[in-house]
Amino acid sequence: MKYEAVIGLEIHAELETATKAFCSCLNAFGDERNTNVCPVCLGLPGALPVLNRKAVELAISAGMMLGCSISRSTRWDRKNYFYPDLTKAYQISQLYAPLCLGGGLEINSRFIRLNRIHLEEDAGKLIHEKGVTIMDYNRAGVPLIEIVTEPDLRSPDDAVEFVEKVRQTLVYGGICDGKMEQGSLRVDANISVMPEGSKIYGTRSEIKNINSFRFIKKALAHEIERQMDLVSEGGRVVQETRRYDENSGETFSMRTKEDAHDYRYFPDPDIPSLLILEEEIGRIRAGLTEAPASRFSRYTSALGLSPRDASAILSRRRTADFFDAAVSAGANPKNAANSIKGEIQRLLNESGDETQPISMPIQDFVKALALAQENKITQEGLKIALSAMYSEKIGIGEVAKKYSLYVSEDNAAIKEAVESVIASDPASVAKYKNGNEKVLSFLLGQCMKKLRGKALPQTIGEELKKALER
Amino acid sequence: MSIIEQRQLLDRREISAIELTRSYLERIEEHSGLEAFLHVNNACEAAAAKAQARIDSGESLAFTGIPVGLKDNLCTFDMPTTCASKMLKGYIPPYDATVVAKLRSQDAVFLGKLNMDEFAMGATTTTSYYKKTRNPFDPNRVPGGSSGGSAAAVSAGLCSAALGSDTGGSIRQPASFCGITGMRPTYGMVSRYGCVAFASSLDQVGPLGLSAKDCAQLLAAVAGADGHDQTSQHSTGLFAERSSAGMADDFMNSRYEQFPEKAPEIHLGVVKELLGESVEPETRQAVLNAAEWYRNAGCQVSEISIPILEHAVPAYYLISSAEASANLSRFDGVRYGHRINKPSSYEDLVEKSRAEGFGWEVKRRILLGSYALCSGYYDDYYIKATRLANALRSEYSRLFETYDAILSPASPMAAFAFDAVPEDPAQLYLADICTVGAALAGLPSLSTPCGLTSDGLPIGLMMTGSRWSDSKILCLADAFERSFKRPAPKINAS
Repeated sequence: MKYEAVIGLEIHAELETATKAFCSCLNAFGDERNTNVCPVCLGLPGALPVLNRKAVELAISAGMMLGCSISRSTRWDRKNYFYPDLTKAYQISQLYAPLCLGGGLEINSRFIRLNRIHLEEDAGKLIHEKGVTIMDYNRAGVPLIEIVTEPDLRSPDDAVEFVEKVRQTLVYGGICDGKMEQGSLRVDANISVMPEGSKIYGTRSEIKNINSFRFIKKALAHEIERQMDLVSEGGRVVQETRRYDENSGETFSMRTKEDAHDYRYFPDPDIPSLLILEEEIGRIRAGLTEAPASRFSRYTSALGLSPRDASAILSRRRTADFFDAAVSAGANPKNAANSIKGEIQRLLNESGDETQPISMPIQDFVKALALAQENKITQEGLKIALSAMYSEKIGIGEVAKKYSLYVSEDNAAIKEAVESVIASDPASVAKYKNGNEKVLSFLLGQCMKKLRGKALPQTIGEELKKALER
Repeated sequence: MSIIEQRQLLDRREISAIELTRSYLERIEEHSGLEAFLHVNNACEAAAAKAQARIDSGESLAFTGIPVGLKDNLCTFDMPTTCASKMLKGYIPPYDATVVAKLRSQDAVFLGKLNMDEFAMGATTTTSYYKKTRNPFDPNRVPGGSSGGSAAAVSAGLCSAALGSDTGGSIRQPASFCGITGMRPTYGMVSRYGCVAFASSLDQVGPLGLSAKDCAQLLAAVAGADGHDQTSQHSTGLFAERSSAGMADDFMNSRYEQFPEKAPEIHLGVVKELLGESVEPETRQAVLNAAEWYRNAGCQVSEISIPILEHAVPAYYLISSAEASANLSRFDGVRYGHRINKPSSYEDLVEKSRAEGFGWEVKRRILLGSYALCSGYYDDYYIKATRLANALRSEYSRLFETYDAILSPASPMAAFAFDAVPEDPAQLYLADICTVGAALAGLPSLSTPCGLTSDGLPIGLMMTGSRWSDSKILCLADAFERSFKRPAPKINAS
């Protein structure tokens, strides 16, 4: 019998707020241990939480960008369990009335449904060092959203793709920085196997705290294989929590259902229910950036980009924003996309600057594209122009003059360049005459180099052919 | 001497803040046998000197230089805050509770921290890990609880007034046992920030004083919305619009003066269910006499019935214990509080530290509360209890459409002897029937002395109003107090 895997994910994403979820301590990564703490996040006797409205707004933004419906009334619950990283011995979370419900994302032409998104607080961090365990509570109380999917994923590749898309959406929205290596984004996966085509899910296991894309793929693949082997040999999967070991690449049982926690959830009496007003929803929606999934379909349908180009543009929000601005300013979408994924991306990579918006006036970029399209400058000239506009911060007019980029009507110069190339490379000329057509593009390149982008390849090609035919 | 009289003496320089403080310190020393204090503030003379400087500069406020006591569950950055538990022995918080900070900013003088039932769980102050506070009216009897130290100290004149906390009756019942006035304000009127949580949806900090007027003074000083407590003044009631100073004015000037004329407009209800068989006859008679006093003063007085009160005690114990089970989980021995030596593991550390650090009553409630929240029992216990509380709230709202305040005893009996504390905790819990209703409904409720038993023990009249009608019930109590001589304890605690 053939089996298929059923996967559901819980994606934990730390929110990019200035302060923590229930106190005014800084929400910062990498600070000296236990410096961003106060009576509230340390859970000292008598301290009380005060909800950070910005965290609620970001969680609502996430819900909107992932197509959820936003609850008009929400509240928080206490999830009770003992662990040294949890200062109050309960986590403020949402079980009964989460902030966002439903929603989902399409990956590989399949819609993956979300069950909910809720807003909770992160726990501190335990650092095991020289035989002792050190508690660092800087992370305690950092706002976190948990994005819970329905069991709609069917393969580790799907899971990776889905997490990547969610991550990209959150980064676009300024909701989460998406840095898995810093723990800003962590994934729990529920996995089961069932006979292919079946409607009845098998017993699932849960793998906790996977913190890289590579590990998601490896951990899921390993766990699916383990379960399939087990089931095909007549065994049974037990409901349990498993841990992925990065070194061995295997998963290990942490605890079974029998010793699973009873979290004894109940509404947190310290935090009044929150009513979310229509105008609040409207204000947040108005300030929202368009989600990458929506941009992707717009780029590929209305703007006619290939899926590959669309993905390349979308890989960073700033390139996508730059592209959108250029298209609204009248640029030809395909030309704009080519320049952005080529020259602009190269310039950004060289600058090493990861976050700043692209510093180039949109009007100049659009004008440069138009000049190239009208054959007033060559593609080679366009690259020179973009590079100069980006690094020298000068306008297209000035660049064109400074580097004399306009295509020359001077046929004499073209002829001279052609003659000089032919004269200097008799070997290639001989090859051409012996029927090797490929050498033509090489010679053309040589001529273009000599002309420094000031003549159009077509014009040069014609002259070159004429000269060679002689 | 009332707080207002002390204020006048201080402001007229007829007594200095230091002299006043010293006179209280002497009384505390003299009556140390009462065991009201867990900690006497050794810096209170310095605080009095600071208060005096403020008085001298002519900038005194209502509590500048007034010596007050604090229940030991209110965080103080300069004194231990133990909640009368071994768990927090020697624990000094790094911050002041909002109510403490408010009084400190007026340069009130904190005489020290007052005994209580461990983590405010109890009605006798005998669950304190440290000491047994005695009733100033009879050293062989309990002072009530959980704010028993606060009530005993005020009653015996060991502080001008004190702050306590009331979760299910912990201010009103000890006030009635010790013959003073104590008030549970409307839930949300006073910040809970820094009051070590027992049951968050019920805990409310409030005043204990020698009169309703003194309580009003202290309440006005500590009331008000607090950015550190989202449940403070969350509801937009009458008081939400008013400053706490406005409330004091309201009380002191207008309503107080108007009582005789306003009396015919006032409609009082006497709760039938709280004057039944289970109430001691002397208590019943004293409360009926007080009701009669109001009738004679011109008020309309009727008997009312709240049948649902029958279920209030179990609902209260389920909700308060459920919340307590979560609130007290943070005491795990990891960051602060009692910790065992050489634990073998994290689990061992938590289990044994808690086993050693908590007393039996606290453990009982944690177990009860944890059980009520378990999956499978949650709907049957916790949810059912919250439904009962909602029904009770509606019932009170309906009553307050007709009645200005509701009268009852604050306890079915007067203070009982230490050796008469029931063995069966359920028996003791049942005595909370008078006070838990107002707590579950978040209503303002106070107790004021209205009589003495033949044994010379005080009896408390409880008066409960609608949400945010705090000044109204204080005025009504004040009117009664002006014609009823407060019984003075014949302190003999040695």
